[in-house]
Amino acid sequence: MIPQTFEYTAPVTLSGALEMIASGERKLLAGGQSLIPLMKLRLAAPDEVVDLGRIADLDAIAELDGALRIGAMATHRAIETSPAIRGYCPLLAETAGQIGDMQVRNMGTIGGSIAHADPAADYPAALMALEARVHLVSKRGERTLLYSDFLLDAFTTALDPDEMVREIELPLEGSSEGYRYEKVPHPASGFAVVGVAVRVQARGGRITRARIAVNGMGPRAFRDRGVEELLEEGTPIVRAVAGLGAGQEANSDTYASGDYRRHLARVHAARALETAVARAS
Amino acid sequence: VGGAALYYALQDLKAKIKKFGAMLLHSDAVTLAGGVCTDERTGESVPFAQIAGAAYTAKQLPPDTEPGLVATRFWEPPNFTFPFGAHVVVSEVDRDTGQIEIHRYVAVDDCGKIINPLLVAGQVHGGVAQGLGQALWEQAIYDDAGQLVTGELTDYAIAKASSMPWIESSHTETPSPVNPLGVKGVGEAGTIGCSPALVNSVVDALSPLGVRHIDMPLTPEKVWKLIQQGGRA
Repeated sequence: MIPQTFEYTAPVTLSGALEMIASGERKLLAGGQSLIPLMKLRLAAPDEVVDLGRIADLDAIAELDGALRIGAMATHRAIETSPAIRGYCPLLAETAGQIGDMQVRNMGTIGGSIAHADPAADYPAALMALEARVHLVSKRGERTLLYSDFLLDAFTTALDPDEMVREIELPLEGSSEGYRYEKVPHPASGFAVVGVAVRVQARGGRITRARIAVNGMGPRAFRDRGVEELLEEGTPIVRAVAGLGAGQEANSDTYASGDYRRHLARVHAARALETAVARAS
Repeated sequence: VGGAALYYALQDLKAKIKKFGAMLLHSDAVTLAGGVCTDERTGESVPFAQIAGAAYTAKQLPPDTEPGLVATRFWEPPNFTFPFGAHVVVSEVDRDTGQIEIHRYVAVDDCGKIINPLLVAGQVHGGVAQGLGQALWEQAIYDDAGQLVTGELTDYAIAKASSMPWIESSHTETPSPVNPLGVKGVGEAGTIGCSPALVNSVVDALSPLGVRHIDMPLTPEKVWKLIQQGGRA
């Protein structure tokens, strides 16, 4: 439980941090709720750790030009409780509130979480359902990706070695929208065995627009456009979700088999949709 | 066993304290209460600190009495004690997921004479937490290479405060005849009562499907599969 020796630096400016990661392989510390345990187990043994926690304004949350902008170093707790996020993107606030426990939410950050890309993390489904964009920055410049293009596979993102996540951008949810993040937490770790994020617009109980995404089930979170279309065509919820994640790989571990995970995704998708429709009306 | 040995040792000490008290009060009838020895006739008293001082400075000693206030007793109980109790669990199984929810937990235990009620409640609560862990979550799983894969608390689930039901705990007090205090053990009451009560309640819930037995721990997937197979394990 003692990590290998490493160098620690804590730059106070973004340009200082980018300079450091441009000049060699360094691990970024953005809350440390995954990296530190991995280092203590010696599953990760970086020579140099660059702490982003002292850079001003990297945790800002603001509504700007019809979008919500969340700094990479915003903590889960800040996202859970931010009036702007609760007002404009309540799905993300609801998701953040189900991450780990209070201690984890006070330390862990959204940028750290999505860059780590743990398949059992809670943000990916919500970010896909919200059609989020990720702003990446390096010494070379900036670029913006859809979150669904940013996330490649388990623990794998489109980040280049000299790049970091600066900001997450979310289009504002309509106030008439219903939403829900339904999660099955692992009884020991609290990570998502399966998590389903949904957004709907509905008129008189009938869904007119649907977004549905799943994390925890497989190596990579996914959005299911086929199910969305069935729902938008008026297919009853239980029938529409019957094929959710059919073509997707599902993880098996000591707690839950792939088949059970797929089943749970469908059960909780139906429950999430029912809650979301009730909230939309 | 320890409690009874302590009890007998304290009886010896009380007698010795009274001897010193009687000596200091020049009396032959003293009582010991509230940290003082009191002469029954005059009402005059001498505090424990003064008695202890006299016992250790030993300038003067009561007849046939050694200095100091130390007593040692060994004690072998004539028989075991037999604590008993009943734990009742009301649970509900989610048909779609196999998830178990505990609606009510009632524990009535008899550990004989209760000396410290807070300690007894803590023992029952802690025991139930361990029993729940065994019944619902705890599992040492090894891979084919013999490596323990549930070796961290991120894989090996134990009861957390947030996963515990409200425990309605009460007691009957039937003193044990085999020791002078009438006490019995309580440390394992919860662990012994909880697991079978919980498993039986789930088996009862699934009995219309023909379920008669489920191996612990009752993980949701295991329960869900049983439901899928109409109770055929």
